[in-house]
This record gives sequence, structure tokens and C-alpha cells, in this order.
Amino acid sequence: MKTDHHWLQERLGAYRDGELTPGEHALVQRHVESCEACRSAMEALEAVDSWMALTVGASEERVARDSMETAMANAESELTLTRLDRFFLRHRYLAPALGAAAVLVTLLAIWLTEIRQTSRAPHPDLELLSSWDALQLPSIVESDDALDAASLLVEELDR
Amino acid sequence: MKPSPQHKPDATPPSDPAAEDMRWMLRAKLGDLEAFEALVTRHFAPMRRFIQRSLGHLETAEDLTQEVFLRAFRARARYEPTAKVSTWLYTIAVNLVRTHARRLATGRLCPARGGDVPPELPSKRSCPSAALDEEERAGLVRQEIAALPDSHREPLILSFYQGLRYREIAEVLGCTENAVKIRLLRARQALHDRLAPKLAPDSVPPETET
Repeated sequence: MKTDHHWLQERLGAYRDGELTPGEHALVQRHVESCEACRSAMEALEAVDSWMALTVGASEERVARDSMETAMANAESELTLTRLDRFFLRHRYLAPALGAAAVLVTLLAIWLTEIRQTSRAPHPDLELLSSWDALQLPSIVESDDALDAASLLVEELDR
Repeated sequence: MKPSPQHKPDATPPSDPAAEDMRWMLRAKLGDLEAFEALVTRHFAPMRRFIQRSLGHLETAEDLTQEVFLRAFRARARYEPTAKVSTWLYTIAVNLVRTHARRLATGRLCPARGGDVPPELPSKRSCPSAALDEEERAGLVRQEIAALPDSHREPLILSFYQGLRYREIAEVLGCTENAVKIRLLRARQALHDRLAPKLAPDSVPPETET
């Protein structure tokens, strides 16, 4: 085991805190007895501990009963939450997300309906064509009438 | 709700408080509020003292301590009796303190009135230590502890004030026992360097060679 001055000095705090193995403890103890620098460092650690002890006041030992009761009330209310409550608490962004999704789907449906209606409406060129057909129709009708008249005439002649 | 007599920590001194904590926690895991209340009764004050020492403000400490127990209760289903309950609670507390300190530092939280910052006590005064009364000396010590970096302050508070063993501190802070040992030594050396001139002007500076 490496037990030079530096190794031992690094263990002075643990020695003071009783955190060394019995073997290490004995090594550090022997070293401190013979090493002036380590003895001084140990005294410094003791001084720090005594200064820190000044801050342990009676006021800090006061237990806030109200705070403890609040902590218990929090736990109780946690326990009384239903499984559904807990689900929504854990997924608190779920409801807004579902709402936003519903709005998006509605907007999409409206947009698709508009597109479908637009595609059903006749193309402007088709409209022109239809109007032309309408113009041609009387001539067709006239020609049909002419045919009818001709066939009537043929029948008369045959008779 | 009051804990049943067999749960009360003061009713009969337990032979092994850690084992008793685990039993209570396992019962709390099943929804036993009385067992959880026994845990709150035993650990609320130490947790609050730890948070108060870390942040320097009583009201914030009480709020955060309540949060520690709420989080512990919410996470009770995930508790496994491999770690001491106190160590588990300290881990939650350390994380809450760090988050709170980070929010204060980034301005996402305003410092609580009269706290969350170390009190401006006699460090600025150039008076001899003999003229400082005990409260002023304690204020100086608190201020210097608060000025330590987190990596030094956390193990120092857990060790000196909360009485945790190095192994437990390592578990809470997620580091090795050796790291705890070195950090604690450095923290004490730093405190001595800062406090000795004010509290013990005649003291001989310790050897800090490494």
C-alpha cells in the first residue's frame, strides 16, 4: 500500500470522520503524531468543524408541523386521484393536442369539399362548348323537321 | 391523519431505522398513507434542514421539502428496497435544490424575500474576531459555506450536518467514495483559508501542498 505523505494527507478528513479502515486509521494516526505539517492540517480541520458547529442553532431544529401536514395532504390528494385523473395529469398536453388535431381535421375536410365542388363545376371551355351546342340545336331540330316533312311528302306521293 | 402507534417513530425506538423505513416505504407503495406519514414524520425535519442549509431560506426550504415528499409519493411504485429510503429522499432533495438554484441563476425564479441568498453579515466588516458575537460568527460561516462550489458544498452539508456516511453521500451525489473524500477535504481546506483570517487571525495556515 502506497503510504507517502501526500497519500496520508489526503486521508486526514476521512480519518477525522471515522471513514478509514482500521489499518488506514492506524497509519494516519502514527503519521500525524510524527508529522508537524499533517498535525497542523488536522488542527485546521478541527477548527473548521468547530466553526461549522456554530451554525447549528436551536431555531433550525424547529419542525414546521404545518409543512408536514401539507406534505401529507399532498400525498392524500395524490392517492385519491382517479386513474383517469392521473392519466390526464401525466399527459396534460394530450387534450390540447387532441383539440388542435380536431381543428386541423375539420379544416382539411372543408378544404377537400371545396376542391371536390370546384372539380364538379364545368370548365369554362366546356361551358363555351355547351353554349355552342345550344346554338346548333335549333338547326338540328330544323333538319329533323325537314326529314319528317320529307318522309310525309314521300308517303303522300306513294298514296 | 395520525400514524398508528406501531408506526410512530417515537413510540418504540426501532433497532434499525433504515429497515423500518424500508418497511414503511413498501407499505406506502401499496397505498398505506399511515406508513407514509411515519416516513414524513421521521424525515421531514432533516430534509428541510438540508434544503435550508443549501439554499439559505426557510420558507423556500419548507416548500421544496413538501415537493420532495410529493415526488417520493408519486414515485413510490418505482421504489426498490435496495437503497436506504433516506438516501433516496436526499437524492430527490439534491435534484430539487439544484433545479431551484439553476432557475434562480438564470432569472427564471425571483429570490424569495429575505432569503435564497446568503445573508450579508459581518464578512464586509473589518472588525477583529473577538468583537464578533456568536451569531455573527455563525453568519460568516454560513456565508462562506454558501460561497463554496456545489461539488464541495453538497458533500459538506450531507456529511457534517446531516451525518451521512461517505458511501451514502456517494450514492446521493452519484460519484465514488474517493471523490467524496477528496471533495470534503478540499471543502474544509477552502473554508479554513477563508474563515481563519476572520475567526482565528492568530491561527497558523494549514499546509495545503498536494
